[in-house]
Amino acid sequence: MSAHRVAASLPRIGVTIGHVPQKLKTGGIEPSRRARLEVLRRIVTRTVREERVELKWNRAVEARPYVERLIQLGVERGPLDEYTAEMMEWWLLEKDLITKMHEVIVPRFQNNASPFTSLFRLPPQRLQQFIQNKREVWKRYDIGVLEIHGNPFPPVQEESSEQSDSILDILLADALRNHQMDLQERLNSEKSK
Amino acid sequence: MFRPAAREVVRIPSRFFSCKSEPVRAATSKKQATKEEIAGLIPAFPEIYPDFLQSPVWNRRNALKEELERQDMLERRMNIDIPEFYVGSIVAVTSSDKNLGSKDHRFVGICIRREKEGLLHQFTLRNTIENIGVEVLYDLYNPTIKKIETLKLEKRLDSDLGYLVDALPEYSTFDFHMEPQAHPAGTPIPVNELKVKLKNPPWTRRWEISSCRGIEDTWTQATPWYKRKLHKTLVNDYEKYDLIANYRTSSTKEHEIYVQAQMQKFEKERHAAGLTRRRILKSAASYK
Amino acid sequence: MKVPVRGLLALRKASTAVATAETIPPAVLSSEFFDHVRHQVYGDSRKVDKVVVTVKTEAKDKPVLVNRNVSTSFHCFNHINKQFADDSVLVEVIPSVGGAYFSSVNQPIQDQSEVRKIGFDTSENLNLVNEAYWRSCSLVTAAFLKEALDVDVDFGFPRGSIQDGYFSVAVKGLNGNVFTPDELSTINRFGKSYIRDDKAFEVISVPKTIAEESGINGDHLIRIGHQVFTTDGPVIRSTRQIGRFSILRSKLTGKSGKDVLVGGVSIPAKQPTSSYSWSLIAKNANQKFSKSN
Repeated sequence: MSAHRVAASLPRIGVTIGHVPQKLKTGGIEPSRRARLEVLRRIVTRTVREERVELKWNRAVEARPYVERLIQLGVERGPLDEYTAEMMEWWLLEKDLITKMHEVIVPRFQNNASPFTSLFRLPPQRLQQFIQNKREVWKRYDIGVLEIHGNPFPPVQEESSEQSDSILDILLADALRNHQMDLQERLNSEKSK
Repeated sequence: MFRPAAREVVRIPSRFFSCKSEPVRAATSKKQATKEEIAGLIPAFPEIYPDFLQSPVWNRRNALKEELERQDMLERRMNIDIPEFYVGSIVAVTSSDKNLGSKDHRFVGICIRREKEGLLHQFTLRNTIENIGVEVLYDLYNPTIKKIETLKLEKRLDSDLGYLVDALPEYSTFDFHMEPQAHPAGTPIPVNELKVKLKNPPWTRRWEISSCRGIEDTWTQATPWYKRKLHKTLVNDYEKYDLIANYRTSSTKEHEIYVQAQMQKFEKERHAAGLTRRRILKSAASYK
Repeated sequence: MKVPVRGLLALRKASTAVATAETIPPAVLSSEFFDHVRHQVYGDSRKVDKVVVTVKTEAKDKPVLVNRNVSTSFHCFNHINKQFADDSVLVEVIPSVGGAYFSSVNQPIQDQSEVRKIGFDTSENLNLVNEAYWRSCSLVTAAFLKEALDVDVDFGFPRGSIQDGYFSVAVKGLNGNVFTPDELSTINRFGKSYIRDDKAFEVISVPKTIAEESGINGDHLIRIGHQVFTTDGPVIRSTRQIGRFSILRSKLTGKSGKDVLVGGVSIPAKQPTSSYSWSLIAKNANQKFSKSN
């Protein structure tokens, strides 16, 4: 740790982080810590570029805190910080994404706290791997969707409006909503006391 | 907060034992005090109070243990003044030794490292006595320590000065009767950008591949055998890019704010009780 | 105003005044007046004309032979089965000449047409049903209040919707006295027994000429029991379709501050609810009514 500058500590990352880093399958390379970081680096780059990516569930789970941390660095420290610049430089392989990060993504979260991303689970997909001696080999994958909040796409999950139009439902929904608001107000007023 | 990048800072060639104090360049311009400053909270908390941070092993972080230890630490700090010092500051420790009777044992040295969290926090002081390098490891919360003084408050380029073992003796020699140099309150902590010259190899560690910035030109002095070995050495300089591994070991803002609030509360209670006016939560670089 | 308990239950004598053609003042709404207007609009009940009405059901359409201007859609639905008729709340009438319109079930059919039943479970026209239900509740409240109260009262029906959470009726003539909780509980008891009696909402669709002539402001004339009101939209079939019903509160309103606005809430009998849910709904309605101006 450099003894030069005093940089304030960053806040907590509001996302579940496993305490054991996963060993990700790294293609033809021998799995190692460096190889894992390379896989994650590519996922992070793709996520920042496309703002919503579909990938294997375990990789999405692994990459999510890295994306969060990168955005958090941008939000808390700003583009001119030495450490932030170094991290952005290394993690974002395509350099125009650094500009995008600072000018598009980070301003979205200026007044917000983590989490800045969401992770959804899709039904498992069965994909063909290869053909071995005229035999097709298929594999199942759990798929996850990792997205950065505020992306231009329609929401992954529709807000289920359970509001039916019958009299009872309208009256009851209204009553429950106001009931909730009353409880909340009472709680807030008690807190402020 | 605008902070100039490192490359913009002009590097002036250093001399031995010069205490470079350039408050204007080192200070970050704080035009408006942030909410935390108004509350009296210190942004440099992890550097000044590394013992109050959480364990670097994520699974060993235990709120109850930390709470109990913190209470004991605060009690101790109310009894004895534990000053602010960094790795690279010259510190004098007066402790009692059962073999000396009523006489105290005083040791002066440069702090070369600070380790561990909570009540286990240790710091090592190094000095040269009769041409022999001596390193003494002290527990910060050892009750037999009578007094800790910072004779010279400064920082160095690294957080671990273990390389002084293989450095020329003059870098580890400090006068036992050195006068304390007061640090003007409100000025930032000076960073001593001294680059140390090592003795001839063999060294105790492979300083040529370490990322210590305080060593001058290790490569030229390294022996050819080690230079050839470098081909096969696993150099892990990518570790700093692993954001989440660093997150797991480091401290979070929420924890710091919580601990500082606790310290302030403790201070206030003790001051109100009237027994002591000693202040625990303070920073030499802040304006108070 | 402290009305003695027995006084509340005194039935009001029917008045015989009928509006004259020259001055056209607002008509005094009474049972006889209703019959008179019905005679005017729909003609002599002695001269009976037959008409074929097709009742549309999910299965197939059933043509039914009924009396023109006398039989209502309810009678047509009865030809299918009793439950079908009982479930009907509104009806969509598609005449062979002219455009389709929505009407109350107890409104006489004037021409050969197709009729489609709308119940509480019909998903397409729920808004209409809700509106009609709210309107009917206000009218029923007015009806039994008129029966119950000793004094000569008149009613206004402020525009409200289900989204308000409550329905309201403005009572004029109480001299600015709101109801006390005791009076409210008696009124509620009376109202509930009134509703349980399965009173049908008899409806006349009054054309403009007769309306102007007789001094009726509104396009429908409604009779519940012995009380008659004018309104501007369809209503439900019978008070039997009203389930939970409660008059919650009364407060002063109007420019002079003398009108008493009575607020209540109700749920159809077809949509049962637990007492806890009902208490939430009633409490919400109470709060909203108090807060509204």
